[in-house]
Amino acid sequence: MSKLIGPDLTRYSTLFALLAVIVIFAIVSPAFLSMGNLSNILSQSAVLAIVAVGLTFVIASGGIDLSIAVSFDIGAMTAVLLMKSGMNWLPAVLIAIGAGVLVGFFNSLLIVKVKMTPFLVTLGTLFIGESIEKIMTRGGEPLYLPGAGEWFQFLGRGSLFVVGGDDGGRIDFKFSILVAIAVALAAHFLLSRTVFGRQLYALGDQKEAAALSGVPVHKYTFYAFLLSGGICALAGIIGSSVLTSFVPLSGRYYLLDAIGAVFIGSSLNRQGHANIPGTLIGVLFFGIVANGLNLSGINFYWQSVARGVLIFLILYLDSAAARRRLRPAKTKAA
Amino acid sequence: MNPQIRKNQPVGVLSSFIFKYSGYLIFILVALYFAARSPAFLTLQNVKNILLQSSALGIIACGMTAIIVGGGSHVVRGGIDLSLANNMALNAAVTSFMVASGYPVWVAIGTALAASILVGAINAFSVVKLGFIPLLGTLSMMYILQGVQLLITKNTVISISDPFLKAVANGALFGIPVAVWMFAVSGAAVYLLFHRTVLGNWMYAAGGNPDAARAAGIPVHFVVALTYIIGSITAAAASLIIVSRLSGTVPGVGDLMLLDVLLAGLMSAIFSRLAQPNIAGTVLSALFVGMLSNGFTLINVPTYWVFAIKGVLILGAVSITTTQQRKVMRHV
Repeated sequence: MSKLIGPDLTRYSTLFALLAVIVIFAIVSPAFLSMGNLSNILSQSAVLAIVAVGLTFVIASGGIDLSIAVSFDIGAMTAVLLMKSGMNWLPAVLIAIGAGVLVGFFNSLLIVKVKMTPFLVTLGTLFIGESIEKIMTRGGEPLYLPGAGEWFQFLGRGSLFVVGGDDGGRIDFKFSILVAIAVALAAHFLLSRTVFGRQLYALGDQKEAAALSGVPVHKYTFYAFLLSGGICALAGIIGSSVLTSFVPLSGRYYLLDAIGAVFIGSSLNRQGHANIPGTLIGVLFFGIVANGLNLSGINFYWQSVARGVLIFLILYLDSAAARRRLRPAKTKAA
Repeated sequence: MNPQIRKNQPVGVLSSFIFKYSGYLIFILVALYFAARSPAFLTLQNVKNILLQSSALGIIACGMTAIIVGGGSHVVRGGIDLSLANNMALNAAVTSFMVASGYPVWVAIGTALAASILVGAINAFSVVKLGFIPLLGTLSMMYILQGVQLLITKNTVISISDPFLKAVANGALFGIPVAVWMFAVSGAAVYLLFHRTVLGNWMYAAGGNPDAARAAGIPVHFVVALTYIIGSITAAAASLIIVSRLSGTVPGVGDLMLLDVLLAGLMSAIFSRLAQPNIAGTVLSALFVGMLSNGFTLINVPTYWVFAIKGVLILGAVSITTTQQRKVMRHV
């Protein structure tokens, strides 16, 4: 099994927990396991997946990025504003991604040059960015994009293929799923197959040791935040294409889920490294839980409780498994 | 840098002064700016207002700082409690619900306190015994608490009226509001605990280097667990102020506060010579945040600009201080 998934996932307990959750939902609600619903879960998870992949780079480098919410929104806002002013969709999207990269640049500048802690820097950026959104949208009104081009709409709403009729058996494979998969594959390649990835993990494990052994610490911190900013802006653009509008402050909605997904993913790895397969499993976990709780008709108020309890259980299983394995030679959690 | 040059360069009196007090200088400059722009700013009544507005934030931020100190300031694995603001909101929900259903106010406050401490104990258990990353363990607790609040309040505003809570909201002792007294007393208590007792030294040691602390015989697990309990008690104290001032509870009151609490806790380092989180700095940071909100309202800055200016000022303050501290640290 480890050959199948790769060296990143060395702890299976979380996977089994995920399977158990799936089985429970399948029993409670027969519609859950239909192909139509599974493809629903995937398309509902695509945007969160892209955000979480972006965040994975920063967390792998030993930092944290709360401003992913802002990169997400700035990406969406820039794209929508540019297209509103008559720009073609492709340059608008590219400039919007650039705007996200700029957010990452601002963060890393303060972190690398001024040596502020990433938590504070990105928290400050979050405050500033959300305020800019409100200023641009007269206090937070959505910006609608009625005349959006077909190509732009295809980004978030288009289907690659549709199988089956209009009933529950309909499988709708959205284009956005493909984008998420492509981004994830590229990120996985970068993190696991390149010198950049290896050194980024070294930086995350032991910054001083990494610097002494020749890792260009500053440059890589920059790269991690630029990647995070750009990728999250892409997620925001896809999100705005799904809604054909820009809704201010919608990035906040993804912030904590993305952090949760990346950390669930890192708990799957023996060294505790944030990694792409793990992140995707974390994202799927959130998608499956939200979808399954909805289908099983549980009171909306209980859904948040259930989500927290399930994360707690996964963490518990993971730590119990780790303790069992590590009992003879206890390693310290750095 | 050439060590020879470093040795021969004396630390300037001015630069060491700026280094020691840059956090305070920024605080005073901003206050002076507001005072120049609005005559109402430096009146006794307005200063009281600022203290009143910062009291709940300040109390709970002391709890956050305690947790950051005990867990260490590592970005990912360090001590943090994302559920702290929602713990306060849970406390507010329990108190309001029980008073609204006719229980005596003391029973309500006692039950709510027990609930908050239980939450803190679960966090402590999951971090210390089960070895969860604090960020993630408390994140899951935050989701749970958000749901429990919805279950208790049914997502509605609960309004209560109670003589004791009214006294907390409107009462004053020697002309100083009760909430400000609570802020002062809890700030002083946590300050004494952290900076004047052995236990406080243990907490800094546990956060700084857990292995070394353990080797020195410090009960690291107990100390770290204690910080989460302290945090939950501050959440309960802050909730009392919130409940009395709002005459009940409003959905989402915790989510609004989380980032400000984190900010005040982390920003406390700029008021410290060692650039470490500390209680006095936390109190000042909470007052700084409260002063910014108050001052911008007085000089009529549109509300959606406030957050941007707040963010820029905070980043500015922290970056100036960090740079100053680095410049002088080099000479030490």
